[in-house]
Amino acid sequence: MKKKVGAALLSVAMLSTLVACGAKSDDGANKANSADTTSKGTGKKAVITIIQNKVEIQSALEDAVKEFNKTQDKYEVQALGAAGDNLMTVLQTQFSSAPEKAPTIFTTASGSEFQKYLPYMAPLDDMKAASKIVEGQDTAARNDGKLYGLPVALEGFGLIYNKDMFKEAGVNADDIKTWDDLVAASTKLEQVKGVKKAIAYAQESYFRFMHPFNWPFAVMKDTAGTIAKINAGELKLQDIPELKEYVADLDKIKDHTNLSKDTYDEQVAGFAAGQYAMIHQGNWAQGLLNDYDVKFEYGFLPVPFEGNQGIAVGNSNFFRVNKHASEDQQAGAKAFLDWLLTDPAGQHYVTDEFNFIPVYSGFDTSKMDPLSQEVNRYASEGKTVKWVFDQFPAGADQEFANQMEKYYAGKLTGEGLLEALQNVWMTAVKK
Amino acid sequence: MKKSVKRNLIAAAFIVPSLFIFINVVIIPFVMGIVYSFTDWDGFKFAGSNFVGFDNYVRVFQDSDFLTSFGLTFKYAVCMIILVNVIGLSLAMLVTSKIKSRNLLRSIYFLPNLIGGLILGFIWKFVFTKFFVQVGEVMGNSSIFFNWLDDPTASFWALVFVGTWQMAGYVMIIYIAAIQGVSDEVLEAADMDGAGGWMRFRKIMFPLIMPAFTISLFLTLSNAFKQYDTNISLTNGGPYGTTELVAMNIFKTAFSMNQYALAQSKAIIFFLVILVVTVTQVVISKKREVEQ
Repeated sequence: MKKKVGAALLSVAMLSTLVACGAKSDDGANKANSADTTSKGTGKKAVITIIQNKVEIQSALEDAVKEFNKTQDKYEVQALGAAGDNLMTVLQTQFSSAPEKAPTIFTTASGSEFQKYLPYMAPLDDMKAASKIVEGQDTAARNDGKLYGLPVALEGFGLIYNKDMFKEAGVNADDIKTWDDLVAASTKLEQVKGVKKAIAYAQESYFRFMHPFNWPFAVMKDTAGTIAKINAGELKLQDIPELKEYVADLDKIKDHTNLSKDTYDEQVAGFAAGQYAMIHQGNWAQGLLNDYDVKFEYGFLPVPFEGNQGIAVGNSNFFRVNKHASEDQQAGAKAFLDWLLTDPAGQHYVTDEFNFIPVYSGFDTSKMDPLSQEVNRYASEGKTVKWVFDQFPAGADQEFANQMEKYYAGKLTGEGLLEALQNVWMTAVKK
Repeated sequence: MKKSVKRNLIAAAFIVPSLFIFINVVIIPFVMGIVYSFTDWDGFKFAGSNFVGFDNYVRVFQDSDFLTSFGLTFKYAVCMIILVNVIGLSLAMLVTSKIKSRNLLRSIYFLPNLIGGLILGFIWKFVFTKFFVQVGEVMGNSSIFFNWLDDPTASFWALVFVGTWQMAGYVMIIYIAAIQGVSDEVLEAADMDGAGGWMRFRKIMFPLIMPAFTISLFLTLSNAFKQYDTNISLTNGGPYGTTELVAMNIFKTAFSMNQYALAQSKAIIFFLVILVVTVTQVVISKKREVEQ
């Protein structure tokens, strides 16, 4: 008898959990729906969700969202957890299941990611922030003349160098005009006590391949034309003079680098600890450098490939608004972005908390951090090269980086590397 | 009559919820997956995708990376089956013997299994890349203490090592249960007949714990084939893509290369292979089981 009662109780318990689960999910659906429809009449707030890939700004973004929510009572903005490198996977699953429930504001890169998510993006031409974009920085977000994204930030990368260490080694940063100068300087820098290697690259696929290989492509006369020819199979990487020279240069500097073995974190930590005199990184490393409380002075140095004297400046990341969200949500999303990018209260977060270099006029840039100021300086002096790595075939960055790893491990010669990269390139294009 | 209705009702209360969940999260997606694998689905809406017949399957067999990682997965599975079961059984024999600290040892051996595969991978990544390198520097030129994850062969063995470390304690539990189920009378009888330790194990113990082999081999085999979490956290396929097991290859095909339909076909083939291998294994080991 007791057994039966127990069994009955158990089944009741199980059923009730089921029912409870059901009720819960219903509730969630209602909530989402109510955000769509009821906010007009009943005074319920439209819920706007935002998801983005920069892990380092997440907590500051949450603060900004809180402040925006306080300034008005029509919308409720929620910052979803930062997805980091997984953002594309997260977006993919969300948009393929139910676009209307996917995040209202999301970020994607330009180029192939832009094309892929274009069917889900609302045009943003009517926004206040749209009219304030610095000239030329919106072209990558335009399609048929309409604007489909707001640039997140201007970013620059090159070699971040330790100014104090350069002094100690007796190297003048301004004198590094050619690759041979860089190699010579590296030899000198490695004499300084504590220095393991002169230059460090990070091992993530973007830092191992995409950014370093931006240089040979960016200094070409006709980058877009060359890439089109490669895609069409009319030109091979191993036949391009700039690339040949670049891998020859890599051969020269290889022994002065960490062979790209550190993670991004370890690379910056090594720089902060004085193990590396230079790191191939961008101004986004500022947040990390702040964490390590760096005592020495640092700045940007151009990668002197073919006498290049600029750093690579661009913006590849754009805020997008989900076209399939309700009208209220879209209006709210635009209101929030306008507040963030044009209202002084919002702008404060962008420059002071996110450490972004604004791509919009009307920002107070006097209090920017050192690396951002450097990027700003190079940009204003016109010493920049373009970001072109987003024109490399989509989805192949890991494969490219694998070949780089093989090269650093000594399993590929410079020529072999170009051949291997060519193969990866063509497979990626065919797919 | 009344009683049986009641019993059926109670049984239904247990089965129906699980069945409902199982159909929803396994059967339906699986059938959909089969359909997707015959189309050019792009990962977004299914509407608008075209039927392409066996094109994806043809492409799967032209994908040399996929075939390589399949080969590697087979090698991994074989190593895992042997190592996990030999070590698991040895541990089980040890902790069922009269050794004093046997209860403590049981917990210690089982412990790695409580840590999730991802965390486990990260912990061992630290050990291999940092600890080993440090020890290697201190000891000078060492053939064991170097960064294992830098070298394709060593990386593979690192994967096997960590997998074994995690899994051995689990199959140990299964073997312990089986060993304890062998009746003392049979073993005593063997002793009386003058069987030595090895003979007793081979002729009496081994056949009697055969059911445990069936289940342990099955678990190790299917787990080894499906290995993904340790793979991604420990080596992430590196160095230069040489330790990419099949599950990871499929995931990358879908989410990095944006080839959703192709990945789906790979997954179906993967499923069929595991099905054939495991069923064969279970049938063979079942035949060897004896009644006590």
